[in-house]
Amino acid sequence: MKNKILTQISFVIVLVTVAVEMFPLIVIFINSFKKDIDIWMGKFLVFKPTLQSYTDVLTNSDFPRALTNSLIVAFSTTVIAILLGSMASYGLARFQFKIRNVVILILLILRMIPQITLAVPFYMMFRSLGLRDTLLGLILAHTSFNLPYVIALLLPFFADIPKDYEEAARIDGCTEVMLFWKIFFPLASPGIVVAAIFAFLMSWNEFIYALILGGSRVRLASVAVQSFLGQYAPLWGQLSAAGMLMLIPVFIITLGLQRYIIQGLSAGGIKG
Amino acid sequence: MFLLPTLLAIIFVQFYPMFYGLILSFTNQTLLRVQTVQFTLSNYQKMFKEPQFQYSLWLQFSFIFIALPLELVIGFFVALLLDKPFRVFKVVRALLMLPVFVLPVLSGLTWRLMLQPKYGVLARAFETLALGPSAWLADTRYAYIAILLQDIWRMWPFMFLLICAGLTSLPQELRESARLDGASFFSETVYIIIPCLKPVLSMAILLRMIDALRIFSEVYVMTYGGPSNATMLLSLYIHKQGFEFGNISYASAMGTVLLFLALPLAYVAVKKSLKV
Repeated sequence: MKNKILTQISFVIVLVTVAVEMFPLIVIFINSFKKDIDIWMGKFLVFKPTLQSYTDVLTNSDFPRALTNSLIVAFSTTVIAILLGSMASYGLARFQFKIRNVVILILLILRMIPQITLAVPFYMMFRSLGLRDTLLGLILAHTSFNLPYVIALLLPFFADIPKDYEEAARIDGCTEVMLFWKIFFPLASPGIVVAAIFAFLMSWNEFIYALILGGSRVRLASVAVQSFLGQYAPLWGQLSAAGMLMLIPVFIITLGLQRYIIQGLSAGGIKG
Repeated sequence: MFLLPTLLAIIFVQFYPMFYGLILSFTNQTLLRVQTVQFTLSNYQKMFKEPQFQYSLWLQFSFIFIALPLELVIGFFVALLLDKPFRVFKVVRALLMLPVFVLPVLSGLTWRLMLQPKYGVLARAFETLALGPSAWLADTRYAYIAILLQDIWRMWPFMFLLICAGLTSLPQELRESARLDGASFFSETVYIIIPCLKPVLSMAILLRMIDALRIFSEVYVMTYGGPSNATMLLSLYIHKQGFEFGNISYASAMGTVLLFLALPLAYVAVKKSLKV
């Protein structure tokens, strides 16, 4: 009897918690279907739903271009980080050499540096190299945090692959390069999926580099979304619609690949 | 051979900028390239005398002392509550995952909208409850609380998710035998769950500590450091000095200090994660 009541209480607590957690998301969702005038009136639930904000964002602003930029940058940095990172962690996991542990240690530490500390020198560097406000510059900057992350996440996967595979492949006359691409890369694919998801999300969510290293020519979506705050009056409707457009891929990935997510999180993923 | 491309990339996108930042911090470089560059220690001298720098540094670290423990406690208790084989709880867990992945910048914007004094939902609710001033983000104390709330809202589920994962890998027999021996919920938690989860907990705390030193975008859009610098975290102050006032070298000096404060934390975290 006492247990039953306790269970019921915990159910209520959980329900309230979920409601609180979902509330801000619901606010963005609802406001994206409102006219700005309805938002300014301050009546939360009294309004006529409209798709006006979405059509405005998609046709009358530079947000679609910012989304495309973000996609290009996120995709490129993911590919680069996975290619280089998987090779590196393969090398680190399989070959013994003197400074191996030091290299691992340094790589793992690099993953955790606050971006703002690198943003200032990056700005000066890229300005003299002509990389500021270019896609390439942003791709490089995003790779600076994605590459160490990918290596850190993949190391245990490559280390766990049994030696037997390698020996068998060698007997069949496999070269070193083939060994990596044909045997190890596919065997580590569960890890590679997680690494790719997180590399993509971290680039998609990133803000500091996008703000400082981007500019009028190359603006990423995370910076473009806050420009709807405007100079005179905030266009909350369009802002919410743009926000929803950015959240949809994130939520699809998160919910679709739930079982992979915890792995990625415990490796220290996610942070703008 | 397999390492070479990565090493080159890391040198170009990590070591070189780090080193360059260190050098910049000892110069008089500004955003406009007019001066002849000189070697100087004045950035560091100025920094340690400036109250705003010290305050900003404290604000950045305060997330570790205030937000993090709250996130840990909430995450821990919700994880315990959900540690039952109901099917609904799977859905709940999935839903709680969402805030963690919301873009920080969007989270900041949403909170700003909710706290807008005239038409923000939350602001109106607080007004009815007579909780705080009408414009939270315009009040020096409440703006800071709002930022903390935002952070807690978004990141306690992160703690929760890690602890949940830890709980499922706990040896069930241990807990059952404790229960059969008549252990109460409380003593089961204190003597079995917490000791067993220690590695998970310390990892989660370390990761969040490092995150705390990176907080930038959500505050940038919520308050831009205001009102009157009350929420000017060090990361925002670096940005402001560097790109608004053009003091590149001064910004680099502060960045270098932040870097050297973050490194030992990162070192401990890495040592721990290699052992686990």
